[in-house]
Amino acid sequence: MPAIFQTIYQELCQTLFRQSGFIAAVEPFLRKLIPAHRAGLYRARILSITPQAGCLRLRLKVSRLFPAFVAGQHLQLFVELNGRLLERTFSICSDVQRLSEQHELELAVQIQPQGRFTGALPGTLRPGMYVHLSRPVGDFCFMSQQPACLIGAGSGVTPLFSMLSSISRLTQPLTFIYSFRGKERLLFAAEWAALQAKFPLLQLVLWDSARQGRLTPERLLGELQPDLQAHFYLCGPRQFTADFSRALLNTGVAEAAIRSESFGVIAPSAGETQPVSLQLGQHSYPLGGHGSLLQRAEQTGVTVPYGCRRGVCMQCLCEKTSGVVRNLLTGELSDAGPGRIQLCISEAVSPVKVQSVEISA
Amino acid sequence: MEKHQSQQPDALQLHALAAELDQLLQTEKATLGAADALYLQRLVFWQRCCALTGRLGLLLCWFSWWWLLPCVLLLALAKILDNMEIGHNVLHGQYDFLRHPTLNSQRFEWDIVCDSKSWQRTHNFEHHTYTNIIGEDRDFGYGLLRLSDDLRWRLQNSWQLATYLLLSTFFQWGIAYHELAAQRVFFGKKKPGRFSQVSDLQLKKAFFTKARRQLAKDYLVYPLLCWPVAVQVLVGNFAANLLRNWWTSTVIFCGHFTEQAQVFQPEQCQNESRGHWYYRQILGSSNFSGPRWLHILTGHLSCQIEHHLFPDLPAWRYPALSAKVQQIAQKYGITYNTGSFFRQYLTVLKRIWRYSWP
Repeated sequence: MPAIFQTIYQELCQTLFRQSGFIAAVEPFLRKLIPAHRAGLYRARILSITPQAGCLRLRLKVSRLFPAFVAGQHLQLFVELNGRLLERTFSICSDVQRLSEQHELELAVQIQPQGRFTGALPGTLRPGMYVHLSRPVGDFCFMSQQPACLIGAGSGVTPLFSMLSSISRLTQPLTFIYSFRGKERLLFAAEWAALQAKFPLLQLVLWDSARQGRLTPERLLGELQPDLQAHFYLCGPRQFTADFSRALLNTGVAEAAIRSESFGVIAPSAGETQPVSLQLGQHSYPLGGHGSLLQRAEQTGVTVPYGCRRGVCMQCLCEKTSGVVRNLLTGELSDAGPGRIQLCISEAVSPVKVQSVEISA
Repeated sequence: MEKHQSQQPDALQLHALAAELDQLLQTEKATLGAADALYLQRLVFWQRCCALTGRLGLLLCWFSWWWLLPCVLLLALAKILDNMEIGHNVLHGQYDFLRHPTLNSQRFEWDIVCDSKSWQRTHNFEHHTYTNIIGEDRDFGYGLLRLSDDLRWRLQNSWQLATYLLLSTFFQWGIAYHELAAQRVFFGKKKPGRFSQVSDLQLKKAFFTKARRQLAKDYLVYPLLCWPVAVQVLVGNFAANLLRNWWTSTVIFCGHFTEQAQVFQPEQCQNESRGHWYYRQILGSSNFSGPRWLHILTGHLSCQIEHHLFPDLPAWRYPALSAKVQQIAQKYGITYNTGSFFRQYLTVLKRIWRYSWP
């Protein structure tokens, strides 16, 4: 029965307002009353901004409606930059208790000075301003019943830090290895001592790779000798997690006992043809051929809507989820994050993922 | 009307023309940002205010039928703003860079019976790519009017002034049916070799869904919601739709069918350069001048030339660009067709009348 009501409600909203719901229809009025309102997103007020270790630590106040999260999950941070609503994905680094008790959460946003998004944040964000958040998602979650070994590199420590600080009582041994390059890149510098004091079962390894050399899988197994029966949680650059999970698998750690999350910085490499995956509905197609993304789709035999093929009509507009493309009209490079691109005038300069724009019913 | 340009710029000049216009576009695009977001947000707010007060005001017809007059005007204004300055421009993708969740070319749906996707296929693609090319731009005369000697005279052309008035009155249905007519979905023989991205079935479904919703909204749900004044509301909605139809068709006819707007032959435009495309857009379009509110009411189609040169630039920027475009056009000896609204419209009527006869 509720399904029928839902259908009737949606049809009525489409008929009367040509919108998916009533809130979307009255959004222009809502935004006059509550300027920070954005339909479908959670607004969050910035309580403080602390630069630390090349990151901005953002302490955010969210409303009571913000859903609970599991330590290790990430969300999308939306910031309006020069009129454009841009978003990037970040892991929550605060603990779950702080959200339920004080309605606060914290993100550590690594600043890339060249980045279109993070590069602009230090000059844009001010305490008291509103930013927007998606609901927390992800299955990189901590299970406290087993002995565990958490290994993080660089800003990959953020979800692991949330996992560690969310633990109320540690009943199993836990190894926490954090590799960072130089004292000035150490995140959460003030918090480690307190955590060590709180959890006697915690073996904390702060690995300064500037002093001790790069933390490799060999050195991990040789010098640190983690408990191989433990569950492993890896977070860091793509290469880092790939190397470590391969090495752990080789030493006989079960595949199910390794969880990892990685992030990648993409280096544009012009000249050679980059792999592109195009998702249409349920199907994902790897694109062969060369030329614009539209040409490559066609050479691969994938039918995509198109029109003018000169960047005018917007019929081939797609959502790029990751990767860098070059605008064939202007030569301009896109940024690496999500964005709308027209297939007919875009050429991949790094591995690219695109999907058709979801069209409302 | 001079049908063939006396001295067409050569390839080299066209190349230079393209470079200058591209440069102009680039400089303008570099300034896109918060101002556009603010403009769009304010525009949508005022459009919703007009719609809301118009609809609520119709309830006052309980006291006197005279309330119909201001409320119909408000409602018509809301529809015109929605269709022209918001719908047309958003569906062109002019504001896509803002990444607004609903005000973008893929998601927006407008208050008109034409399905937005169908309009994008015929208007954004066909009309903007093949502007005023005989036989390829079906917006040229809408398959009903003869506006050039390139089309054979038929008997029905002698009363095409009346046809024009009829089209103008039912303009939203004309646009909604436009793609279905081209594909001969209901009547006529299929044209061989005509390519379509969507099947006839999809076309029919989109057409009937949108038409059903629009008819239900204006002539069933809103009148029933305002039950004691149902008749007045129904009449008011009808009148607002009518005013919107007349206004939009008048504006659109001034864009490409003025006396001086040129037509082109398909063979002139095969493998055309970007410069020639620009050249054709300038010659095939015509502007009219007026105060800012007039520009907004036309969705800035009063700057049709700028719109055809830079269709994905936020339209409120066109008036400021117009002087520079005019300067460039003059430099290359290309006629820049502009004049007052009434003068331009008069030449449209003259043109319809002139080609009514062989």
